[in-house]
Amino acid sequence: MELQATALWMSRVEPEAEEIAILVQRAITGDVSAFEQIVLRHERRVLTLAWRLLGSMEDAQDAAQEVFLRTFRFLHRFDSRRRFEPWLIRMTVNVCRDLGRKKQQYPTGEFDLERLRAGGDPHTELSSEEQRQVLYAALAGLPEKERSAVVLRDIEGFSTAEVAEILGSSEATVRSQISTGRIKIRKAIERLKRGRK
Amino acid sequence: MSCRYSEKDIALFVEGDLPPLRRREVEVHFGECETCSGIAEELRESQAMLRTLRQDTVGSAALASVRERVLIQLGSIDSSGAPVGQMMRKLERWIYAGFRPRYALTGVVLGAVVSAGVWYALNWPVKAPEIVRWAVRPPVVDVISTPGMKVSKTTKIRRHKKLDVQPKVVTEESRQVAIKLFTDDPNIVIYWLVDQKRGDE
Repeated sequence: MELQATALWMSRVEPEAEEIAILVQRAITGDVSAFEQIVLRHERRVLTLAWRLLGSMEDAQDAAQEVFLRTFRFLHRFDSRRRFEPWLIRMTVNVCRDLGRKKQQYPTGEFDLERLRAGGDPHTELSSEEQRQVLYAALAGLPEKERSAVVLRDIEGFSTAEVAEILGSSEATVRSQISTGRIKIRKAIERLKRGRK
Repeated sequence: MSCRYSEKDIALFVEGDLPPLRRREVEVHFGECETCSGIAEELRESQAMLRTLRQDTVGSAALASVRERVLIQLGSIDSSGAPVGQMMRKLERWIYAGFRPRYALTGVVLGAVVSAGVWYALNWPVKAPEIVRWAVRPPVVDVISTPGMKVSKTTKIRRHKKLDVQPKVVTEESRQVAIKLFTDDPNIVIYWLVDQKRGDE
């Protein structure tokens, strides 16, 4: 059963990997239309991740642009025996890290926890929009490394080993970062609930 | 929390990030400890909320804007500096031989270490120092018999201490001989320098 599932997964993944490899080879020789195909396939993933890591759509767009320009510049360094997406994700995380350092802080204006706590109705449960805002505010409060680990593991759905590879850390470090991040998020949600009661 | 499991363990447990053995231990512990099972419940809830963010996605307009900006940038690269850019990329590929820079650097460092090792192995053991033993033989001098004349002869032989390695011994004979001649007049002393090689004074 497991073998069948693996075979099915491989049959889905391998043609795509093959297509990407062909597009990459064409893009290396300067074929912009091939590179445009690569952008079209991955832009949503890159921009969404950048937005989650940076907390601002404007910064995320700048980051995504920089990611694709760097990808074009360094495409010849890509090892075609490996998967393309983790390589792109690693580049996205690095670009966001650089941009985040320049900006110095994660913008919290969009997700103000105090405002949510004061403005909510104490007799109702958190609405889905409020939940979203609380979660983004909690993510905003995390240090950059913890935020990256939590976003990649719990929202993007990568395994701990993959997160470690993307962040260039050990699995033990990543486990420590995600556990601390999860505890902080739980506490932020608890604080909000207590504040409203 | 006074339990032997930390909150971090529970945070890893709820998402299956603990090793199997540890996971079973924590599971057994939850049956005995209400505090820990309560924390686990809260963490499950907050994690479920966090997963709802997976549904959030960016709008098509934002995507189109990024794509347009990228393609404009690529177009300007393509029209103004493509040959230079491609040449640089080719040069970089040639320098790194298709590897990533960090692998290329590692290769260079490894090569240097191996070369140093080979050089060291070839030059070991270091040759024993060449020791020159001077053996000055008393020169053969035809002494002209002069009344009161004395001939001083000095012979110095340096001997080396016993060595583990047999030194290469090079023996050289002195080439110059000094002969001191005394005359009847104590104020007159004649020094006679003889070059053996040339055989003249």
